[in-house]
Amino acid sequence: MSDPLQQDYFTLFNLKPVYRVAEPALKAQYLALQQQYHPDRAVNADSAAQTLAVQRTAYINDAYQTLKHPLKRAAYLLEQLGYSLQSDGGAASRVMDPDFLLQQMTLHEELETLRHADNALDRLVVFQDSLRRDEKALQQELLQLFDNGSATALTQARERVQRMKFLQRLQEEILELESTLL
Amino acid sequence: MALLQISEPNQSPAPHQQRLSAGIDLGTTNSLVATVRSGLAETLPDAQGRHLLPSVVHYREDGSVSVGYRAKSGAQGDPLNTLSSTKRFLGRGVADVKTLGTQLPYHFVDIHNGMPKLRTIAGDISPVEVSSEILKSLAQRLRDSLGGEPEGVVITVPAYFDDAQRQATKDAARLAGLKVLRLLNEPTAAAVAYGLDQRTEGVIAVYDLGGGTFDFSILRLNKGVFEVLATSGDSALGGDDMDRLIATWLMQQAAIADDADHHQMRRLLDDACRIKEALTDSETFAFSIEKENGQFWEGAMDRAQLQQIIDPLIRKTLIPCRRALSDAGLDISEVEELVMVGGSTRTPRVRELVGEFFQRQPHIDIDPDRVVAIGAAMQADVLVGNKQDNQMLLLDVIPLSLGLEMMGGLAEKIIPRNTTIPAARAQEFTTYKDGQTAMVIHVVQGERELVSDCRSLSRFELRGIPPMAAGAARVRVTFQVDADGLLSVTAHEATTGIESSIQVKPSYGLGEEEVARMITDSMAHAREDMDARNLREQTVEANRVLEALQAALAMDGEQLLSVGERATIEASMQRLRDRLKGDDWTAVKAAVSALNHNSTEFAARRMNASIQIALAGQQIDKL
Repeated sequence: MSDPLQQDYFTLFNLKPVYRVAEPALKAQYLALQQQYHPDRAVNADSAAQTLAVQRTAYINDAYQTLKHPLKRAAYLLEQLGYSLQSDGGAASRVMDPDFLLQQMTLHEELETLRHADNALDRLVVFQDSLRRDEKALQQELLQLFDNGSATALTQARERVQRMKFLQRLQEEILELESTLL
Repeated sequence: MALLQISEPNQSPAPHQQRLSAGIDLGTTNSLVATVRSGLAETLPDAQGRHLLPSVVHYREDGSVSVGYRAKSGAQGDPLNTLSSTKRFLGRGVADVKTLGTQLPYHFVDIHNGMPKLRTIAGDISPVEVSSEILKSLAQRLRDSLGGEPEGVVITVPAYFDDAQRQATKDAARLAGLKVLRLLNEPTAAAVAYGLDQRTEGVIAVYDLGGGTFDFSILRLNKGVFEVLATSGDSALGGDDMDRLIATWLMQQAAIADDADHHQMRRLLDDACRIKEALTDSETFAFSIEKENGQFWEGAMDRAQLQQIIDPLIRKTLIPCRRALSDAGLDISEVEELVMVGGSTRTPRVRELVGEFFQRQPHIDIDPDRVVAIGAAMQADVLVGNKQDNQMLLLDVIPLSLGLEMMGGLAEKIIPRNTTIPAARAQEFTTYKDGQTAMVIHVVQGERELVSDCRSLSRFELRGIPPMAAGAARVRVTFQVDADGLLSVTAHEATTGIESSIQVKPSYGLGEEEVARMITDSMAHAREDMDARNLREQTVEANRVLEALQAALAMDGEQLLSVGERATIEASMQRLRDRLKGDDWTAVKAAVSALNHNSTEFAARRMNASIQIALAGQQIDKL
């Protein structure tokens, strides 16, 4: 078996490069890899081996976080399949979809209104719930698009990931707003 | 030396002697040392049977020091030369100290590089040096008790310590001549001791309120794996602050002026601590306080009054608790056990309010003073390799986000808080001006948006970027955090390959040169002592290396090495054996590192071979 640093995340975790991932298997392999490569197993090693242990486990940690997280996993898988989010196609589809643009603007406006509302905290919770429902729906769509796997489906999947990314950022903004209100 | 770690348990050549190691809890008010003997972790007492060592150091005019109870008993008589609670200043800047130390009975000296020192009769002393005196004292206790030199120690730090504070702790250990196997977060150490003792599984929360720091960590325990889900805290909040609040109350009640002198201040703080401790067991407490004019003031305090004074402080600790729960994505009801650690959790009101918040009875059946040192000793025992088949694994996180300064003084987070360590992240940046040839990389730590609100860790320059249009250069900055939670940063310009890297040395800590100078200084003080100790250490290390290599050669030498390669390693081993006959530790050290160098390739090959064997074994298991 080759060095973890030389393997893509799916190979490293003994997984087929597909979107559906069994959490328990993922976790078990994560712990097995950590047991093997963690710097605690190399405290008596020379500094080169210690540095290598740090690099390998850092990579393993990053891989685990990516595969565990539905959105990060989707983005990574698309990248591996040649549908990078950074490519022109991604940006173009985002610009071209007027629906998505409108949705972005509406949601931002809604958040701005809430910022100054009287019962901001309560209304934020409601807003958050509705965003979570949207995210869940997108998540379901993603599963089906990845299962389909055709070029059209994967291009659509990339667009769904863009939407999810936007929703995620919005959720983060809400959390920040909440912490200022608390 | 990688050779030891990779020998499989069933292949290990000879049963090794137990390797000596220890866990050290370097606390704000008290410190402890613990070790594992015959499988049991226990804290070590001094000659008088006392386990705690007060973190107090007394400096005398001739530069000699006393540490612990002896130093503490002299504190009232000589407050300026008796340094206590200095952990609060470890790795901190002058500005921090001013906000922290408004009522402290010390003379701070502003040193040019922004690092505060304390003025004593023996000269200006840095907090790192004070910590190293405490560590030296514990190390001596350890040697007396073990009858030998430890191969390494695990030192605990508050989980909420930032990079500068961790680095300062490591510097203090170096100064004390100790090899640090790992810096371990205090709540994680407590979880190890508690989890292994009680065989607990599931989600536990550790609430650790010490003398000067507050930590809160949530962990998931599962078959020897201790996974920290989130941590938070306040590295400047603890029992000392309760004492200060009580002292302020005493001053008001007894009409003592605000500008009380150092002696008076120290007495008041001691009185405050005494009152607080007395009210742990009884409902009311009567006392008398000596005023500056030598008269005594008679007073009393009951629990209700105490609560009124300390409640705001306890409630302040609940904010980080809430944040950690939210970061871990957990609801309070999902926390299965609540473990309380740190001397300040002896205060009944702390247990009451925290228990209320978590809606459950906290575990107080473990000694809150000793549990951290014990957990550290267990980890040290595993790290030196005494339990080769042990599956214990600690997966910890960084407490505070690490980032870079962007244009406009905004902080861009590169590694967010509560990321599992080790961690590495890279991000690309570009130039903002045409023809820009250099870039300042300013590394900060903290959660705030503005760089000025975060802690500045380091600043370095990447030079030699070829002149290009603004936005054309591509500078890739990589952050890497090791298992001690320490950061190193590299910057790399992609179009030309110009590289600049730095092991982040905090702006407020000691520079490399300064540590080297201090080590030389202390050697000048006790040259022979140092030489003897260094020789002892190097001999231990040399024998370990030789023994391991000998076994490795016997096992794999034939398969993995050519005749010539083997001859080089063996010649290098012989040179080391020859050096061991003399008493020059530097020669031994040089021979050890030469041998290490010559055997690195062999170690790498063995590691690869063993990984193949291990993985092959795993697959057979699965079938």
